[in-house]
Amino acid sequence: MSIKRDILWRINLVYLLLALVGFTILLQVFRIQVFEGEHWREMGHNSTRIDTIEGRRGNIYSEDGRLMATSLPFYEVRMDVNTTGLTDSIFNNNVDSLSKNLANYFQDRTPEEYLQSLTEARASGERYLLIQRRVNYNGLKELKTWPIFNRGKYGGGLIYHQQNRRVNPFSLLARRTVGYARDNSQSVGLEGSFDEYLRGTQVPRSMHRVSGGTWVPIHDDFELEAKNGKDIYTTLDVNLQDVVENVLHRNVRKHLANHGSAIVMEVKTGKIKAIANLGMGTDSTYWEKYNYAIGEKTDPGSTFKAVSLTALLDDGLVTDTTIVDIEGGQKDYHEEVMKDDLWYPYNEITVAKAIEISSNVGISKLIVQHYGADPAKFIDKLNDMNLTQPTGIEIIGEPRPTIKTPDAEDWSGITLPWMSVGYELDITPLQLLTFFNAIANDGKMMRPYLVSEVRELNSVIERFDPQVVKQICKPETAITVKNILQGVIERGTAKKIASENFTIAGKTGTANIAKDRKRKKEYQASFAGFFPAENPIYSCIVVINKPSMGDYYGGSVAGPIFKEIAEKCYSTSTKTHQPLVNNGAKINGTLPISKRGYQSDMQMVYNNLGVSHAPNPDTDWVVASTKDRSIELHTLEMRDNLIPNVRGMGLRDAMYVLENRGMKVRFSGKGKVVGQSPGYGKRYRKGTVVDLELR
Amino acid sequence: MQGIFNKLQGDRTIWFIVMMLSIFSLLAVYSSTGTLAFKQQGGDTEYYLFRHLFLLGGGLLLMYIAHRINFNYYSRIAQLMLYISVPLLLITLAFGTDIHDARRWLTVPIIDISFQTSDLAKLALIMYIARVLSRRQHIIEDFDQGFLPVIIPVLVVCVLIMPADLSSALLLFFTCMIVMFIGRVQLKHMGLAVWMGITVFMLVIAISSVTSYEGRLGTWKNRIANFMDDSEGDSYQVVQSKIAIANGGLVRLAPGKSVQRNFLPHPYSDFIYAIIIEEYGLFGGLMVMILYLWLLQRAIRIFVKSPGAFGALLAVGLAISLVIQAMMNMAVTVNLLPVTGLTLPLVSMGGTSLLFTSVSIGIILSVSRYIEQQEGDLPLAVASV
Repeated sequence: MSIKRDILWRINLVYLLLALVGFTILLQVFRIQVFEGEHWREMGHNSTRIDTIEGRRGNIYSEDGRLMATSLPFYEVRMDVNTTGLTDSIFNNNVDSLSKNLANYFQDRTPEEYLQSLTEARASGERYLLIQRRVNYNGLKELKTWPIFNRGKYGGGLIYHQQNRRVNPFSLLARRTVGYARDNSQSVGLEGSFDEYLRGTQVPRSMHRVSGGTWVPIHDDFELEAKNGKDIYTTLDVNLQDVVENVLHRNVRKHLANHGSAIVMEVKTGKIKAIANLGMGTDSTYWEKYNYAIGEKTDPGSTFKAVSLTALLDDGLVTDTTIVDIEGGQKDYHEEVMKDDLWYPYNEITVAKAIEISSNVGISKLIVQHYGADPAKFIDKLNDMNLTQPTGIEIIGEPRPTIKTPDAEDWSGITLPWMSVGYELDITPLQLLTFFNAIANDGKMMRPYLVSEVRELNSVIERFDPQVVKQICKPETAITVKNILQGVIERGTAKKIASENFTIAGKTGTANIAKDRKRKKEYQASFAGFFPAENPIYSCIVVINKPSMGDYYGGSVAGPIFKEIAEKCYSTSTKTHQPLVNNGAKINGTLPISKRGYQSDMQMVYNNLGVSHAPNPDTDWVVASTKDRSIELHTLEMRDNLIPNVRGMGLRDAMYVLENRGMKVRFSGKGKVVGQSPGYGKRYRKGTVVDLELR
Repeated sequence: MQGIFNKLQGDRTIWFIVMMLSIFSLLAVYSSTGTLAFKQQGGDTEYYLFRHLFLLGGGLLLMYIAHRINFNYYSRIAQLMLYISVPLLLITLAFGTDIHDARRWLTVPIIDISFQTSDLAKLALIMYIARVLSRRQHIIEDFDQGFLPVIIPVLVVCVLIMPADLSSALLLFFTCMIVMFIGRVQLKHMGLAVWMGITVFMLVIAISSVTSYEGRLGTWKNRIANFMDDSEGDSYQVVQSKIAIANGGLVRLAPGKSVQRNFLPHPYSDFIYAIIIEEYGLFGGLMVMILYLWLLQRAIRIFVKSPGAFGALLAVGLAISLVIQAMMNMAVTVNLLPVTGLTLPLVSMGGTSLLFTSVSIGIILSVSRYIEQQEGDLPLAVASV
């Protein structure tokens, strides 16, 4: 046998063996697929799943940057009691003190109980023992310093997963408007409508089930790449919101109303500064149950007379002095009787007077007289004034107003007169307020809005500016309406709410909103208006649904609430005050104490306060010193390698100055810097830590 | 396509097999690097596809270059490579880069590419024993002259690989035994060799457990214990691999639809065969299996036709080494062997081992190219050793 043939049979033998191995492998595949297939496929379904990890949800801020909704991280802490790095000696020597720490910190079990659970878990081979479900960030930091846990994940078995919890620092304030993001049902409020921005990106994560039915991530050292959500800045003013919510709360309780709502809007911009909704819960307490102000449409009642008035004036059909005969406050339209709510000893009165005393007969007569021949014209006019359209507020669920048209089946002979005084139509408080706001704004209707900016990491990525919807009437018309509405407070149905400090223009409304008006009386008291009347800053509407303590008139239930809100708005908002110092007159009294800071910031403050000062053109950072009646600004000495003096600065300025020079800042307290350590003039290096004390 | 094929020399069938395996490789790697784990690491999955494509291209280029070189030079090169790889293995053990507690990688200075020195040593060793065996066929039965010159380099290289990569060392030792068997080393000598292998293995284990260098020992113990011990059920990887295989069914065509890629560790390398079966069924698995066996069959054909002993043993030795590794990988995937870190040659994603595999196929092709030329000259030449 030649060598080659000798080798060849060996090769063929090896080939045969390898082919046999290959066959065995395929046989095994076949076995796994066919004989065990069901088992493994089932296991595949039950033992693995793909979760999603979400980036932190963005914050919702008030206009002045205060947090209205935020997400706080909390941690689920578990322990791999049998991790390889945790030897018996380490475990046994430290488990006592770990148990003590756990019991001390969480106060939910005794040290003995913790000790027992840890040792039992170790004995039973547990690798994913639940320690605590909700530990906050500080707790986690603390926990990492304890014996065993301080050895980390592999050495000490510490495992934690971050989750986020939504928190509303101002709890009840504008709760419904801020809203809730819910997974299993419709999200509401801004959380719902801005969800797209607020939500962090979602990242899938593979999980598998370990013994005991717990799910653990497969790739445990993954770096979470989910991006955090964006922040939204609302137009809401926390102070005003607080006032409005408080006043409303007191009054819905006083009148034992079913619910009430109030909105404050900035006239020039359409910004919603405050919006409160309180509904009675089953336990007779009130809470932000539903966004009535935006989502509930009802017969507005007499407040709508302002709309009829505007239509009549703008179409040139009447003037404020046109005379109308109110026929003693009662008139028949077909088989229905229109009555005025209160009896007045008049027959012939002016249009202005008809609004002031809220005469149903007067207004409906004028409307029927001028539009009765062609009611479509009146509807067209409402359409022109945008009252047939929703406002387009960012909140999901704003209904479209119900305004009948003459060709509709349910249009009858009494529809027009009743519509003119606020019945036979449905409109939301916000939609009506938008109209009043337009009157205050000389006929220019602004789109109401709640969100002014979307920011990502503090840089604005989207800005929402005030939007003009349209000019709803001639400016002169608006002025006339304004004057007449001012008369309502001076002489008419809202006489009681006149303020000594500023003027109010507005209209009361008392609507019987019962389904069957003839048999039942369920009232809705409202007041819509704006202030100060001459140069309106804010418009506001108050609606109280079903007050049940006897009083139900717009003028006496809603009016006082409006007044209280207006008074508080007026006193808290500096912009509405007449300037006290208007000619740069010298101030008697003490000038502000010397401070350090950024020159242009300080100049702005001085200018606003009317304090005379001498600008210093040489420098950005200044030290102020008070001389007689003015302030001098000196250059703030800052030398290389020497720590500058930051006392008197605010935290922001101090941090800017120090950290720009490579130092690190630690601080305590709030207010102005009163102490720094190391002190100024000392040498520093990059990374030197400067402690600041603020007060 | 035809044009490229015409330019290639050597056994066209082997080229075809390589192309087919590369296509499987691309599909499976692209699918399995699309896993969540990769996405989570901020990976854009196309990156891995292109990197793998680039490496496959590089591999083909090396294969082309290697097959253009007259195979007789490889005898000398083998010797040289072995002399280089022994100190390199030592350096790796001492200074190499740790990946998963195993010091297997060496970073080449200047070009900054890391590669597993064991891949180089493996190639060198197989080539070298082909050289020694072919040169000493006439005295192969002699202990001093025939056996020792073969077994000594085998033991040295395997021992140096063992601390960091037990499975590779065992596989290499086993492969060398097979090649020695083919190379007519006496069976009693082989028995001695196995006995020496076991002794050395025990010795290394003993040294490992007393010295601090225990990194891999725990892993070995666990893996073997897991495989032996049926009471605890299969380990996580095995379970996930079996689920993948079960998902696949007998015949399936679902490229990129693997579910288990999200749950299997290293779906793109160690367990790529499971992904192939999950996406292409038992049929896909069969195709891959046939391709490897076909490759070996072609190498045997080269052996039959080869006029010289070195070329013949070189081609068969390299092919057997490659196919044995493939079988081992697939056997692990279907849980016939304990979990090892072996890749599926030419299919798994894995930088430099792919390049070394390509070179070894290039060398096989070089032998067959030589035969083709000889056949051209002497169509009826009957080779005899």
